[in-house]
Amino acid sequence: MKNAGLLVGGAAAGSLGIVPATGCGRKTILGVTTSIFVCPICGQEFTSLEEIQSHFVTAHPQAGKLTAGQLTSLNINGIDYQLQVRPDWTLVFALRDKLGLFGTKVGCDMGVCGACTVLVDGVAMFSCIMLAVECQGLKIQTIEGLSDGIELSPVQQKFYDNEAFQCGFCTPGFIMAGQGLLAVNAKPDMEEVRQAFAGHICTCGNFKKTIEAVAGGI
Amino acid sequence: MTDIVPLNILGNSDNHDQHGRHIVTGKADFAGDRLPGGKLYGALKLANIAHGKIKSIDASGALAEPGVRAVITHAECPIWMDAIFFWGQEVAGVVADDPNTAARAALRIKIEYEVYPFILDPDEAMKNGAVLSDVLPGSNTRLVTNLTRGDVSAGMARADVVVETTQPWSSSYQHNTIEPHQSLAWWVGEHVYFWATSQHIHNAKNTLVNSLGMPGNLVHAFTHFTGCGHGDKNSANAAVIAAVMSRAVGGAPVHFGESRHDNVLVNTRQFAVKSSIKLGARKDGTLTAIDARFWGDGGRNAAAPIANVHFGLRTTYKCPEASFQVTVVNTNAPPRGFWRCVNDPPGAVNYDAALDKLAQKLGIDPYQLRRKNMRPFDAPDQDAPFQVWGGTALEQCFDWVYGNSDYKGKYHVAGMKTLDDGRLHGIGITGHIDSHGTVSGASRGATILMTPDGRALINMGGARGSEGGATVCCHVAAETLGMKYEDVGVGEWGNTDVTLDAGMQAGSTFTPSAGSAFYNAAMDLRTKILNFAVTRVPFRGSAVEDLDTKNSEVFLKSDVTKKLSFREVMSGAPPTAGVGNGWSPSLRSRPVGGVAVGSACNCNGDSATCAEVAVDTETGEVEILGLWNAVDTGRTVFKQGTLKEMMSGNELIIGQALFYGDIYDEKTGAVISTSYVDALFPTTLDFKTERLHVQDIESDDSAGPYGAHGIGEPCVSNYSAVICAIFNATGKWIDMDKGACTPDKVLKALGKA
Repeated sequence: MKNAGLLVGGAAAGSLGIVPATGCGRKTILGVTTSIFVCPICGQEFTSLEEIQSHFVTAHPQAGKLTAGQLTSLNINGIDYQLQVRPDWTLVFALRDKLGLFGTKVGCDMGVCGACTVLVDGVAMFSCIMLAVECQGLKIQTIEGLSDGIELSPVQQKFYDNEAFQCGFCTPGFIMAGQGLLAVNAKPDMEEVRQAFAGHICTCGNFKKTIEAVAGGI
Repeated sequence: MTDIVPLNILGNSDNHDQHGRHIVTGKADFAGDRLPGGKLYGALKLANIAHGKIKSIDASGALAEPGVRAVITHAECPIWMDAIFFWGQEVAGVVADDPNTAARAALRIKIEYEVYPFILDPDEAMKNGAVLSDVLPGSNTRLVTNLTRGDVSAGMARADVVVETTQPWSSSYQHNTIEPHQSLAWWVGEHVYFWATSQHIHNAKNTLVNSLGMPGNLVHAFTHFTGCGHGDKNSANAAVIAAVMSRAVGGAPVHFGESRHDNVLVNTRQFAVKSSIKLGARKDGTLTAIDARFWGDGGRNAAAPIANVHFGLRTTYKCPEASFQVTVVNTNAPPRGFWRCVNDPPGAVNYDAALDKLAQKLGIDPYQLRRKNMRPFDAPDQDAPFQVWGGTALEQCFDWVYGNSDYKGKYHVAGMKTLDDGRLHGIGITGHIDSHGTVSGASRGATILMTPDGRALINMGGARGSEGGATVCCHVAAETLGMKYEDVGVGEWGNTDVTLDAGMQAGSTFTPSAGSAFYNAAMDLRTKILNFAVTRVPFRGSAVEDLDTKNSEVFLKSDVTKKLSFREVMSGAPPTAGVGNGWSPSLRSRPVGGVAVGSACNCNGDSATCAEVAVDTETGEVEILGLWNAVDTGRTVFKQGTLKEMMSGNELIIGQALFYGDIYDEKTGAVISTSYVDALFPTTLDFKTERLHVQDIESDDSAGPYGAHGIGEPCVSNYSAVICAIFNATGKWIDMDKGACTPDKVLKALGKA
C-alpha cells in the first residue's frame, strides 16, 4: 500500500498516492476492446495515456497537490485532529512528524520490532504498518496519552519502579503492549507476558526487567 | 582483598535512573524527535556491487520526482568516495519533502560502475594470489600483534602434554540497534547545528570539524538520548551526511535517518575470529607454553579493532613462555568495528575452546585447569610495561558462578550425560580479565552547578545511553558532595556548546573516566561550599577542615548539632560551580602488590560465567537451562543500572551464541540479512529470563572513582561459556562458520545433517 502510484496520470500527478475508483478501464465496443482512461478528478474520458497526461497539466495544474493529501480525522489520546494526510503516510509518521507525538518510535518500519506500538481501540498494534488514512473513526492511544507526564499511569509507574528500560527507545512500545495486555488480563503470568511481548525486540537485552514489570499485574 | 566499606549513595538499590520518567512517559528525545512538520528528509542510495569504482551518476530521475529537493554524491559529501569496497556502501543521498519520496527517488538514481573482482571469504583472502580487496595496497592481510615472552620452544619441550588446535570462524553480525542511525542538521549562516545519536558527542562535533574543514566554534552538536550504542554509535557519519544534505538545500533542517535495511548494510559489525593455538602443560595442568595465532576478518575496515583478541589469554593466565600473533584479513565485506566488548568475545571463544581441549586431553575439569593457572590478582602484568593491575576480583567471580550454578555437582565429561527427556546436558565455565575498562585521563571534563536552592546539577558532555551515564555521574557527585541523591540532578547535557567533554560512552571507560572527572568537580565544589559555610553562623571561627557534609547538610565535626542545609549555606551566595578533569589510571586509594599509591596501573574489568544447556539431538536446538554471570565492579555505583547492564550482557551472550550472524549472497557479496526477520534476534519466547543470574562483586579496585570501574564490556565476554557448554553436552565443537550455533550447525556437528 505504501508508495503505490496513481492508477492513471503517471508523472503528471506524481506517484504520490492511491487514487480510488476507476482510473483506468476497458470498454468493449462492437467486439473490439479499447482501453479508456478516466480522470479521477472530473470524470472525463480519454483514449490514450498521453491525452490524459496532457489533460492533467492543463485542466488540473494543482493535481499533484490535491492528490498529495486528503483531510482525515484522527482521534489521538482523546483529541480529534483534522489533518491533511497523504495516502501513503503511515500512522506512526502522522503521529510523529505531523502531530509531534514523538514518544512512539520507528525501529524497523516494517512491523517486526514493536517500537511503534500504540493502542487502537484498546488493542496493541504496530503503527508503522498502518496507514493514517485507515485510522479514521478509530481511537488511537499513544504513550503520551497514558498520563499527564506528572503523575505516571500504573503501568508507567511499574516500569519506572522496576527500572524496566535501558536506552529507552523500545520502552514506549513495551509499555503500550503491556497496557493492552493488562486490559484483557489483569494478572498475566510470566509466560503470558512473554507471549504478549514476543513481537518486540530489545537490542539492549532488557527482556527480564520488562517482563517482570508486567507479570503478576499492577 | 580489601573490606568494602559501605557508602551513602553508591550502591544504594533505592536510587533510580535520573531519566527514568522521561523514558516511561515517552518524553525521551532521541535525535530525530523534533521539528514536526518543519523538516526535510534524507535517504541513501547504496552501491550494488562489492568492489569497483563509480564511473558516472545520473540523478535526473530522482530530481524529476516531485518533492525531491536535492541529490548529493561523493562530490558534496567528504566521507564518501568513488571507490567501492563493499556491497551496500553509500554512494548518493536524496533530500525530499517526506521519507517515502526520498527513498523512492533514491532508487531512481542511476549509477554506472567499473566493476572489479571481489573477495568475500577471509580464508580465500589469505591465500597467495587471492583477489585483492584493495582495502590496503598489495595485500589482504596485516600483522597487527606480534608479542613473544620467554622461550616458547623450551616451554613446549618441558610440557608433558601438548595440544594443538584450530578453531573455525566465530560469528559476525551487525549490531542492528533498535534505534537506527539518524541525525537532524541545519545551518544558520556559516554555523551548522546538529542533533545526533552518539556515544561521544564531542567527538561527533570533532568529526564534523575535520570532515567539513570548519572551525570548531561554527559547529554545534547536541544529543540527549542515544538508542543502544554498543559501539555502533561511535561513528558520526549520519551527522556528517545530514549536515551535507542540509547544506545542499540552503541550510533547511534535514532529518537523515537510515532505514533498517540501510542501517544494517552501511554500519560496522562484530568481526569473526579464527585461531590456531598450541598449549603445553604438565600432567597436573600447569601451563608451560602458549603459542597462539589469531586471524580476524576486518571486512572493508583496514583498522578493524582486532589487535587485542588475545588479551584475555595473555593476561589471565600465568605462563612464562608465550607467543601471540594477530592478523587482520581484509575483504570486500562491510566494515568491522566496535561491537559490545569488541575483541574479547571472539577472542575468548577461541582460547576458551583451546583450554577446554587441553583439559580434555589432560583428563581434568576445565574449571580446575583455569583456576590452577590464574594469575594472582595483584601480580604485575607479565608483559611490558609490567604495570600492576589496579585490582581484580576474578577469583571471587569464579567462586560465585561456581557455587551458585552448582557446577561441581553438574560437571561431567563431555558427551556423557543425557537428560530424562533425551536431550544432552552440558555445562561450561569461563572467565577472564577483559581488555576494556580504562581511565581516559585529563581529557575528560565535568562541571557541577550549585543552585541557590541548594541543589546540585551536573553538566555532562555526553548522551544518556543504555548505561544511564548521567545517573552514574550523579551518584559520584552526591557521594562526594555529601548530598542526598534526590538533591542532585542533571542540568545541561549533551550540548557541546556548554559542556565539557565527558568522554566516550563505550569500552567500559565512562564510569572510571567521567566518574573521575565528576569526583574532582565535586571535590572542587565542596571546597567552595565549605568556604562559604565558614562565613555563616554557626560556623564562624571554624576552619574548613572542621566541617563535614552529609545528607545535603554541612555540620561541625566536633558538634554535629551545629549544622546548616546546603540551601541555607548557599542563600545569597553567587552562582557557584565546581570543575574537574579525569585522571590517568593510577593507584589512587591503596597500594597493590607492594606498589605505592599513585603508581601507574592497569584498570580493567573482569568476569566469569557458567552456562548450562540442553541440546536436542533431533532438532539441533540448544536451550539455555541456566546462565550465571559475575562481574567485578570494583565499587558498584548505580546499583540498579549495574545489574541491568550485567543482565543485558547475559541476554546478548545468548544472542551471540545462538542467534546472530550475517547472511551473504556469495555471488554478489551482498548482505541479505537486513531485517530483524533475517538477522535473527532473540525474542521473549527464546529463553526464560528467570534462568539468568547476575552478581556484582565489589573489590574496591584501586583506580577509578571510589574504586569503581566500567563493567559494560566484561559482562559480555563470556559467550564462550555457552559454546563450551555445548561441547560438554555433545562432545563436538560446532563449526559456527561466522554465525551462531544454529540447529543446522549443531546437527551437522552431530553427523545428522
